[in-house]
Amino acid sequence: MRRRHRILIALLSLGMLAALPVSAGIAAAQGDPGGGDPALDALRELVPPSFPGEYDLTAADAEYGQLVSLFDENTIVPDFGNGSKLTGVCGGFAYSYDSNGDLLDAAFDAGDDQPPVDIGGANAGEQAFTASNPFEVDTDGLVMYFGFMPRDGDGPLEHHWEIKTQGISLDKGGDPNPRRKNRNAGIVDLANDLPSILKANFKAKISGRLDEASGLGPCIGEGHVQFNGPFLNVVSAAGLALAGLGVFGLLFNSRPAYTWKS
Amino acid sequence: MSDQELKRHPVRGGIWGIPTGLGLGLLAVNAQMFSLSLTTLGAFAVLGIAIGAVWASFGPAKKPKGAAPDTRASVAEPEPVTAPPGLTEDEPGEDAPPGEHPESV
Repeated sequence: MRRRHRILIALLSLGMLAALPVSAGIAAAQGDPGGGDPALDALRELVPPSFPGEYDLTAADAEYGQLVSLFDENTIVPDFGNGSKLTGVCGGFAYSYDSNGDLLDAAFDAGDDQPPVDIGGANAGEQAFTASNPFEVDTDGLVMYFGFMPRDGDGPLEHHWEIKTQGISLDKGGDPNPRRKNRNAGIVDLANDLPSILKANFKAKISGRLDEASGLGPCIGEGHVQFNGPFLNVVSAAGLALAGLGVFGLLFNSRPAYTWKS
Repeated sequence: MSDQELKRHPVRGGIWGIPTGLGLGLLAVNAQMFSLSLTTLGAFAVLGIAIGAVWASFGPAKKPKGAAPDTRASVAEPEPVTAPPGLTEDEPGEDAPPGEHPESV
């Protein structure tokens, strides 16, 4: 169960990072949050506005196919900027819902060499997973994901993956995958699965890498994720404690002081 | 009147600035103003060290503790020297025989 969960997390991360590329057509609609761009509106309509419940692989695969077919390949985004990427024969999509089940953010990667595209939430149409447009998740919410490697053909054998932030490993795992499964879909219940220390408000740059032994090549992704949690959390408590300790020391132990000359 | 000497503690201020900076950095991260990263926390720690050192060097100084020592007392009047009993002029010692004053010898 634990290994399955890790695989789901890995695919989610890699899928989201991979889903970054789809933006070509969508990015043309930047600055159009209310709609008006037919390609973007069509993509938006595919994203369930509220948590749809069970999500099986067949439905997710069909939905991804629709996203790809709606993607306007004739629209070229001049500069995607940096901050997110997904390279390798991998891709997918991820939808994030808050604790009330309302859509918070959505991103999609067409499986090409472009970074993923935002297709839901406030910044739809922009490059997703960037520092200025991180993928938002509610620490008490859910993330639905679909990821593949590759889109067609056998999946990776003996794959090993690792997710890092700032060079520090967050999680890692792997699977022999003897059935050569090439896709996965599921739901990550952040309320139950996220460690309590991560239930905080912060943005972080996360990188993921999956290596395998069947010659498909590595799947490498990186991007920014924003965790929306309660205001009072481990991070804010640690910050208040440290700042309080430091100010106490500055006020009472390090001020300049007059002394009597002996 | 005693003189006062101003003592500054820039190193101590820098040390206390580290938790101050890290704490402010974590609060800024919690406010999602900056990404959580070693670079961000390191920058805030350095900022804290700088603020602490400046505060400890140029902040408002505390008054000296206690009353000023009276420096005049140490140089002014020496304690009066009293002659040992029996050597005073006015009151000869009891064991000195009457009429035999030491200085009269």
